[in-house]
Amino acid sequence: MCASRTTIIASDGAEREGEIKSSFVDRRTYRRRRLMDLSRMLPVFGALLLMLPLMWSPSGTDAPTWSMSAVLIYVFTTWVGLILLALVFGMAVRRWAYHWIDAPYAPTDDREGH
Amino acid sequence: MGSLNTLVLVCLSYVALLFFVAFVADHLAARGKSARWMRSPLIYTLSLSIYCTAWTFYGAVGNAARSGLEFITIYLGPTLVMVGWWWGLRKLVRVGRSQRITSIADLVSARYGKSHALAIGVTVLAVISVTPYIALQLQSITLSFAIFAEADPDSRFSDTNTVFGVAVGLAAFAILFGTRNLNANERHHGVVTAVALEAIVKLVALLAVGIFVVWGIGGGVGPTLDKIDSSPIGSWRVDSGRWSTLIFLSAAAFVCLPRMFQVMVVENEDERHLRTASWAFPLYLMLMSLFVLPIAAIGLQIMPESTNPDLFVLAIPLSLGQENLAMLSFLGGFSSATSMVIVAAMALSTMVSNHIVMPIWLHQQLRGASVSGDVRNVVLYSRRLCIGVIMALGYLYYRLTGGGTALATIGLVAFAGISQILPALVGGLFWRGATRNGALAGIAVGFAIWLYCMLLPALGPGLLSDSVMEFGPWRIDWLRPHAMFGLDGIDPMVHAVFWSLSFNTLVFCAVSLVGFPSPLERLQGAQFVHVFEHSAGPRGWSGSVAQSEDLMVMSQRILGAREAQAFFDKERLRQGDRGTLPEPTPSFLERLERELSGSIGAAASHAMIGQIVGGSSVSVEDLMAVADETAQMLEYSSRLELQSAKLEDTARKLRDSNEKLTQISAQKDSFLSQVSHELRTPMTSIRAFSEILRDAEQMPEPDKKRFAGIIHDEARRLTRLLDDLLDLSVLENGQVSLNHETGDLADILDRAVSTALTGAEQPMNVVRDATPEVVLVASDLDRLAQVFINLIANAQKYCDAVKPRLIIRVQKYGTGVYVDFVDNGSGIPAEHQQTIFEKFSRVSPEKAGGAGLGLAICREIMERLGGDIVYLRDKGGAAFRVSLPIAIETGE
Repeated sequence: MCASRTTIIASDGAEREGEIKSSFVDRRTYRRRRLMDLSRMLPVFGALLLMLPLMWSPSGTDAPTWSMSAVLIYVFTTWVGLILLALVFGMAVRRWAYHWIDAPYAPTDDREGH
Repeated sequence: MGSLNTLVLVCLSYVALLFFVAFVADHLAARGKSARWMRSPLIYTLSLSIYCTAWTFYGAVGNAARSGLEFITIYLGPTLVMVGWWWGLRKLVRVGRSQRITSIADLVSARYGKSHALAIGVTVLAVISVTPYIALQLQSITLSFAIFAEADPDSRFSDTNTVFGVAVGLAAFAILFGTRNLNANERHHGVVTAVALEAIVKLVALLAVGIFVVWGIGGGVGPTLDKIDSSPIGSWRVDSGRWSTLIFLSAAAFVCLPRMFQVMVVENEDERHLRTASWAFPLYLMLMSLFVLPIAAIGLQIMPESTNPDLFVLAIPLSLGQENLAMLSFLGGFSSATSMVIVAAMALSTMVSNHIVMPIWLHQQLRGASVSGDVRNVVLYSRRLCIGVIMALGYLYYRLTGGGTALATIGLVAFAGISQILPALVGGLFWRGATRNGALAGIAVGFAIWLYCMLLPALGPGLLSDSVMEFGPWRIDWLRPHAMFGLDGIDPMVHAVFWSLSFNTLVFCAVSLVGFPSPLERLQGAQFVHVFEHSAGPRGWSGSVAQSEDLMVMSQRILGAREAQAFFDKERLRQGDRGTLPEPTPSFLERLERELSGSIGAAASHAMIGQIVGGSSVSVEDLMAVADETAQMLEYSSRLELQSAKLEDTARKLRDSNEKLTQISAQKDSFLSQVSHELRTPMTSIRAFSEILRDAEQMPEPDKKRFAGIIHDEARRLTRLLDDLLDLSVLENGQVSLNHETGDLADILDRAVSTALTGAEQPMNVVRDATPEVVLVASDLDRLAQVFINLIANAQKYCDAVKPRLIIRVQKYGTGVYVDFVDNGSGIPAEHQQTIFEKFSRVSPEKAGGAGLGLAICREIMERLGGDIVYLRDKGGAAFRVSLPIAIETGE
């Protein structure tokens, strides 16, 4: 969260509070980095999956089409998948990166590792 | 059947329940006793459900019946936004909380240097896009009433009255619970709790209808899916442009809609709620859309052709005699409409009141006295008024468009309109280079294109003529509203969204790249884009050990070495006595900040610690506060300066008067010796000659006469001196009685000149100008003449020119005349100019003509006469100015 006065390195929020960014980080920070990757991936991944049915749409009128129920099941399955991933991500944030969220009474994070 | 009456009764009881819930929630919150469930993530998630309006509650089924699965895009967009909460919404909410944002217009304006123009622009855009949307809700309520009325033959249903009543009721609710107080954080517990309750009602209603349709009519999941496949919407056909555009559009609107911003950011109690809402809200949306397609398919199958598919949710249970289910479904739709209208009216009224009404009001008040007292009340009243006006606009819009099909398309039009804020919003959150002008230009261009390509055509024929629609304005082909720049043959909605948002973004980026932002804009830009570095948790500070030393140095400077040492030692012990300096933990920094703020003020200490620790959360307010403190210090120092200047002035005056006193004392001494001398000389000669007269027995008569004459002259000289002294003391004590009469100034001067120059060996040349002297003077003429005689006699006595000459000049001023006496001698030396009017003052003792009382007497006389006499410098010779206040011109 802070930049030392001599080396100003933009923080990406993955490190511990007060830790200066470096290329090799401890396990917990590494976890957080991957969590952030996941969070960025989720909407893109979801958008891709939801665009997929467009490929099945027939270009000509006489081409065989997918049945509505199949697409319905696909869309809802994707939807449930996204919801579950979001749930997992939320739990992971609670487990590894509580300080990411500005909570009125968040447990202190500044003692760990000192 | 009486179903309409029952419906009205149920409806009213439901409204009463909502009022009760809102009242209790507000009451609890006001007493600080809000229960934990009221602040729970569940309530937050449910309140987000105002996204699902009556348009989606009823309209989704209608949409599904017409174009299959397309309806689902409206729910998929928000889902993608929610699952990406960590790098989107989290930032938005954090910015909203840290900057105390009250609306989307406020956010955009705050980001771009608190720009007024932007706030007004966004507000106008929001009002224009959302008002038709409110009308749409009113329409859906009326339609659902109407379908019950149709089933009830003996009802006296009037849709006009219904709409009016509904609009008034909703306005009352919004005013009552939306403008109850003016919280610093603008949270409305009552409204949010009621909205959450309505969210449950609409979900339960839709699920109940869905379950009834799938298991009650369809005969289970498998058969229902078969029925869907065999229905007119059974095959997967989709316009790919519309599909992706709608997902994008709904995602954008989810963030930009004023009512969504209100519940998502403004009413957000705790950032952690997002974590729950990120999966719970998509779940809610999924459940809301789960049964839409089955209801549509089965509705198409079993309902008569004439039934409006928009009302399948109501019509299916009603036609199958499921009155209670229909009632529940009605309440669901009613809930969707009311919650949306209430929150939208609230959010819009905040925007209109804060950015349009209040600035105007304050501007007008600025000319009057201070306005600090009752601004809060004014804000509340203006919000109430705005809610009323917005509801009235919605109602009017409904009446004007006749509630026809034109309204049905308005939902997407509103989405596209409000999405014009998106580039400025996203750019503002993630791009420091975004500028106010860019945002203004982008929104303006997007708004114009949206208006031309989407809103005006959607409002039906008449606004844009057929020829414009077909051939473009002035027959310019590439300006056709539905085929701009030759982009022909695609869906009009996709077309409008594509062009408006593309140009919006393009112009926004281009203008931002070219322009240069103001300092406040740049500061706010940094605050917004780097919000996570700036607001690192609620405690704000974090630091590393290396900074402890710097903190120590700074504290010593501010607190003093010993105090700082003691404070740091105490902190070190509190932390468990490790090392020589305490670690800069947040709590330590907080205490240090408090300690320092006692010496240098809160803002300054916050800024100083921020400087050292880095990652400072210096907001604009902080900087302003620092500036204020600096201003105060400046004012203090300038006051000190003023005081020291005053002191210096006083000291100088003291020095001057001291000098004068010394001079006067010296004069007195010299005069005393002079007076003794003056008295002694005549006395000596009087004594000597009287002794001669006494002792000489034979003395020739002429000698005797001569000696007696000398004695007489000397005695007269003594008397004159004593007379002068007496005169002066009488004048000074104010015991003199003045003899006021009116006379001609020229006559007085004539008399004075002849008297003064009588007996002179060489009378000096007196130059006078007769014309201005013709002035009547009301004064003690004898005393005045005495002054003039004295001045002329002085000139005669002291003027050292070869050909002595005296100029007497009379000139008028305001209410009096100046009489100047200027001779051509060498004048009075500068060092004597100050003291010539003092008693016993003599410029040149060698010319011992008088006792040095003449001018002192003159000044006393002039003061008694209400005038003055001063010495004029740099006139060539000795120059005196007598000013007489009272003068009457002759010749009247």
